[in-house]
Amino acid sequence: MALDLTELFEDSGALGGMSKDEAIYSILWIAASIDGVLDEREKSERDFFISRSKTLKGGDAVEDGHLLARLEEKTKAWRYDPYQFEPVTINACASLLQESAETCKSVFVQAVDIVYADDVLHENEQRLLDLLRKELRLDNVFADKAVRILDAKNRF
Amino acid sequence: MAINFAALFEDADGAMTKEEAVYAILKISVMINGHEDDRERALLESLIKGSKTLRGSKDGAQSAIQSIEQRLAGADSTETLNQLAKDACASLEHIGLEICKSIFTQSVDIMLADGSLHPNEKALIQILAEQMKIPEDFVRMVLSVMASKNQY
Repeated sequence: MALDLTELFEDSGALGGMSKDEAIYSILWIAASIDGVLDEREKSERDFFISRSKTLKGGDAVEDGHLLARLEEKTKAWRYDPYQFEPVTINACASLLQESAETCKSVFVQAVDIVYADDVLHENEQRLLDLLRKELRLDNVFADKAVRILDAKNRF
Repeated sequence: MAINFAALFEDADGAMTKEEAVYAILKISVMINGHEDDRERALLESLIKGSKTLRGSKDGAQSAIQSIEQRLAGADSTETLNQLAKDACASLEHIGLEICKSIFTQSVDIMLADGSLHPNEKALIQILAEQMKIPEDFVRMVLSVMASKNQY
């Protein structure tokens, strides 16, 4: 009998288990959607990051054009269910922690840029940024700096 | 006799509208390294689409964009681009420090979008920071945050 590792992993309650691509894609998708409105500017910012991300473009899988389609398929289970956003974020962060602190910082800054793109900080967006900051174990000085700079960038 | 105001102001710094100045700085940020990288161009388009300043103008800033594109078509050297950037900075500086900080950050974001910093880009960052009188600690923070953002 073949083991369904995905199911076993989910049932174990362990965190993580996403590939780097999947984790980044999930966080950026949630950043654009968590305020309940897919604002055109946030969507444009998210699509831009996804289309040009060195990580998402750099894998072998993207060369045959299937990576983004595969990620889109995998996220279908939760992407329209706001109650899933928190556990997915926590899992994505746990997965990214296995990569490097630099990756975590970079993805956090990209998420902040998306959240601030419409110039309105919804309370769910603030909660997401707090969650990312905590789960990605970011240095507070860096995180504060990122928020201040991206806020300034998106004002005009 | 009609006075040609454009010709009279040609030798003075500034005299651009806010929309012209914003577009000029962002477009020069794409052009300054001698070639238009796809990622930098894509970011410029995304920033134009989201820009409150450009979206807020009457015609979606089309006339400002056309006017700057005409001026850039005749810009055949780095020095000419830098001079045009200085004009744009002088125009924005009159409006206020907050817009200068915002456009400076957008410009650095574009220049780092291809993951590397060309010497011409470094020189342009210095020109923008000096001309728009951006505080040094803010410049340092922008470089650190934008480098991190564009790393992955």
